[in-house]
Amino acid sequence: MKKTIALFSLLLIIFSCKSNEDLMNKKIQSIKDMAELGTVEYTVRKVIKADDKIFGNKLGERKFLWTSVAYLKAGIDLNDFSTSDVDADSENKTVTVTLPKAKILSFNMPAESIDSVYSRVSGVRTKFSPEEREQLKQQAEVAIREDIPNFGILQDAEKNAKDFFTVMFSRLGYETITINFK
Amino acid sequence: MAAAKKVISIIKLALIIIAAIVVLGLAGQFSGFIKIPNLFGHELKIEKTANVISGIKKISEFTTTCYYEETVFVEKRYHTKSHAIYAKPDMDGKIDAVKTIIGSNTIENKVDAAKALVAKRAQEGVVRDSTETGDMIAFIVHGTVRAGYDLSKIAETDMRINKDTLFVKLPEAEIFDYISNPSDYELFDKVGSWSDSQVKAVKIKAVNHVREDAIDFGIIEKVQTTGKEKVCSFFKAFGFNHVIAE
Repeated sequence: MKKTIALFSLLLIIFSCKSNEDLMNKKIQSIKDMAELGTVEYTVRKVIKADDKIFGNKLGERKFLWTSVAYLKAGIDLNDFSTSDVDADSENKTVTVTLPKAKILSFNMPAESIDSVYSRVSGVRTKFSPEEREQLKQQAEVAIREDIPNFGILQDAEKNAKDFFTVMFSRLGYETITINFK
Repeated sequence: MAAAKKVISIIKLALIIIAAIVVLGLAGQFSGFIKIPNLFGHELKIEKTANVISGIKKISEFTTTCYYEETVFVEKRYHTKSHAIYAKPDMDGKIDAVKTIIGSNTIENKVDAAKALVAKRAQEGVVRDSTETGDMIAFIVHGTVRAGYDLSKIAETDMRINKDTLFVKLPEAEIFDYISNPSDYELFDKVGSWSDSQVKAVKIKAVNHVREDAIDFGIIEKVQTTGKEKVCSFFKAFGFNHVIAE
């Protein structure tokens, strides 16, 4: 009886364990509805460089140089945009629209846009490991993100949103169009 | 006397340390096999460089659907290291020459071809000792795909009004972005040596998988259904009671 239980338990363990390959194929997927109007796209270029020394240059140094490109899109979130935000007078052909403030909608720094230009390791230093390279690329991403407020992209996004709605309402026959931001 | 001995032993120790550093330095220069890794948690940092805005583009992208995926992406790579030792006997049975060939080829998913070659060479009188080793790199990937309608493609003739109804001919639903930033890749594990270009190729492959998954998951169909409703609601805010998207 004990032998039977032990054998059964062993079989249960063997067949209940998934291989690493199966676990590797698991993924989390989700899809979300949204309503965002992107009105401007910025292309930002950055040179990523590092000069890594220990004890000055005595034991050698590690240098590298990459070029990278990031694509930023900004616009307005229209999820809550409704008729209450539009004050239209079709008789007088005037309309006042109140839009939400512009925000960054997407930031994309794809792997194919990061190119190695120069790399040198001297002395007794090891090459840059994949972990170190990833860390440095992530620092570059952070550096671009932190500089976004200085780009003027949100002002451009609002200006373009204004132009978009002006054109749209013009096509609908309105003559006096006022666009405001919350 | 004791003090003198102490001084001598300190000098000896200092000379040994200096000699070791010189030997290490020379060994690193000429042999390259002695390497010092990143020591003492020394933090790597990039230097401050300018962020240059090289392009500004006006767009009218109405994003209605966003697909998100988190997955483990594994790339494997096989190497075949082989030694070929063959002997060529002369008429008297003497062995004239013995040559050793050592080579390595990187073969991806073509291990069977290598085995066939080994078998063939074995038949030709070549004794081959081969070992297969595998390299592997695994990333945890966070991918985002954004899709919707490009409203700049709606021409004036694509919109017409009939009383309180707006008829609008929408363009094709399209995918705007496949977003993958350096922070979206987490290097989980690796075996073997992976160069920057090899890691880049793996990442591009991973993003292509996310793109295919987004399409298989139905992102375009989602844009064409609930996305279309979103666009209609948007145009309704302009004061129309009915909006018909064609």
